[in-house]
Amino acid sequence: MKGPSFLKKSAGYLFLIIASIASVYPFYWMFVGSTLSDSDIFQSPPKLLPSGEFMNNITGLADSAPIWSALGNSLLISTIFTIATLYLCAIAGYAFAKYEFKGKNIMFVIVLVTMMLPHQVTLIPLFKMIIGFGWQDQPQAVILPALANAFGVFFMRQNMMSIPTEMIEAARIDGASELSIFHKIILPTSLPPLAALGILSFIQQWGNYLWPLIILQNRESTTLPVLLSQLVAPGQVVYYGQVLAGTVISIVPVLILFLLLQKYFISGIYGGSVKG
Amino acid sequence: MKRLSVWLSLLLVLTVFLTACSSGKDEKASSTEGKATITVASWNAAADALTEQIEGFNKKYPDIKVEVLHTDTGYSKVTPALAAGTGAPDIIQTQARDFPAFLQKFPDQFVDITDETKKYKDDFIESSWKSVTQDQKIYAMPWDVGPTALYYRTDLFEKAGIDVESVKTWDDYIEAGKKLKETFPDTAMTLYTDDFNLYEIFLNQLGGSYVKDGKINVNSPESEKALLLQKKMKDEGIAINVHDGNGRIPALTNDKVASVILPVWYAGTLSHSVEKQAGKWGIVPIPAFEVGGNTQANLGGSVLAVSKQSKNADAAFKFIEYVLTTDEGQKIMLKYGLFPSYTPFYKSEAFNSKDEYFGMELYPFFAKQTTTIKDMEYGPIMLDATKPLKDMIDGVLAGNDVKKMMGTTAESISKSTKLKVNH
Repeated sequence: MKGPSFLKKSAGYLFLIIASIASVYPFYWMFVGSTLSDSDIFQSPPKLLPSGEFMNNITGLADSAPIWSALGNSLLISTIFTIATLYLCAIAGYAFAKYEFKGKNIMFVIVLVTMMLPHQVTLIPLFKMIIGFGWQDQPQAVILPALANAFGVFFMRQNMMSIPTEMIEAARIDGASELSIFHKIILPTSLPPLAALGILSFIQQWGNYLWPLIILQNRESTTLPVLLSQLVAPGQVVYYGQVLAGTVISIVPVLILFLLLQKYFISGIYGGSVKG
Repeated sequence: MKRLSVWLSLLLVLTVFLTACSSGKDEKASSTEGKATITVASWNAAADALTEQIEGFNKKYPDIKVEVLHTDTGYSKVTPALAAGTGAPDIIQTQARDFPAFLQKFPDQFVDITDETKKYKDDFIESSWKSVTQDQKIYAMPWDVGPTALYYRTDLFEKAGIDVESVKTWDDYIEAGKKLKETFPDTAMTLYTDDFNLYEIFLNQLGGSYVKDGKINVNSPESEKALLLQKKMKDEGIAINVHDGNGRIPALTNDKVASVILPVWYAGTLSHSVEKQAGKWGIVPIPAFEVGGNTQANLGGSVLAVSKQSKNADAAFKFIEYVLTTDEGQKIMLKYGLFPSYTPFYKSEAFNSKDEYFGMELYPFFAKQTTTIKDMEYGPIMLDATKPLKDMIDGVLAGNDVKKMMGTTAESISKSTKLKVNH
């Protein structure tokens, strides 16, 4: 009786081990590759141990492209975007979840409809608008357009539906104002979905490519994904070591954020699926 | 949770503050401006080259301020501005083959520079004027060209007993590839990528065109010949698919390939990315289709055009003139691997220096490969034709009927560009 279950178990583990090696290997190789010189990167079989070229690659990269200012811009834009999105989506989602007002359903449908609109359709009108504001090359040109996006509002609403209305009423009876109910009761109880939405928003903005590419013309104001993509192109010499070093720089912040918020992330994602 | 709300309000304030102070900065900049500022949209190494040009340019024209904007090769940065009619840079770089499509898609967006360029007519390689001319008017300045050659591993050829001098035609080349396999079973003669580079080289070598007399011409006899040659190379096992430019380098590093058919700009990649093979590479003209046939072809090359949205069109042209028609300007271009279309520069000292990696005078060799390059009409289709052309080659390589593939490709390009098909 013990035999087959043991076999089954070890087969499962074997599969998991192979799968995890397959998914971790590219990342591992990226870190190793960033420490190799260009002519070593493409050696077959691949080198699997780091070498000492990382600082060379980084300084070479910093000489040819403003990598540090791009990192700064990416951090600034993604952080402000994430925090502002969290607050705005939470407050809008709360209104849709817990208040009754005229036209609520229609408004909610309108919000959802914007979710169906492909991003590319809005590009040219948005471009005209932002140029009209004179915001070319400014970080707010990237932060503003996707703030309080429909997905975030919808996600927060679904999660907040499960907050017991009695709790809000109790606070009201105790004399709390509507805004302090939101700040002191709703926000703290919504931490898991906020963390989940936070990670999603941060990653989305961190990897945002098309819009920053279009609106941030100046190289000093550009973001990391745009800058990195410009390092590889047909018809020119590609410095692969530098590209890999740049990729390492761009991936570390996301990695840290994810590890920090991981435990909220999973519980937050499923939060809205079961109505309490 | 007081702390959280304090944090949040702090950030909101920060956002507002950021908006306020950055727009303030903007006003200041425009009020102190006394001289003309021009912006140039360009990509990668080309953009780096232009950035390096600014210093020399300002010695000549101290009153013109130049800013280089780094764009992508897919034009996502300039097309919205051209479509919106606002926000475009003063000077725009496009690939030579894409420029006719720009003229068609964005009519009246580029300055007519026919009169200004008249005196340079004979200074540039003749075929390079083709794609910047529409109705006898010139709308852009040819920048670089991509004369193509056969780069080959001298050591591998020698060990396999192949005399490169005897490889006169593509058929010889395929036979040599088979001979190479006998000595080095794991090494292919050459490689190709998932695009239409090799096809375009063959097509141009044969004097074919994508568009002829305003009609789509991808179903021409030249096109068929080009497709069949690439198919033969694949079927005979002498060419391997490495998918993209990044795939070439591991194939070369690990001796999987003994030669490549690519333009002058690949010399830079070889000497940097395959540094360890220095001294092992030779360069010869590409084989001909038949004995004594054309051994020259062009792939790539860019142009610089002045946008009609520019408020300083004269200053913009002065910059183009400086970087493309002076020795100082072209010297910097060459440093970045951009092979000039401007022929007076071929006499300069910088152009004639010896290349250490190849052990030969690299650029004079390529200058000789520009004399019989055939005119090629790209037509206004290239921004829409990329995918159909790729599909056509994939289809032919997979064994589909060549004539049928050419026909469906011509129809599909016709559908998106509204151009008629040449029958």
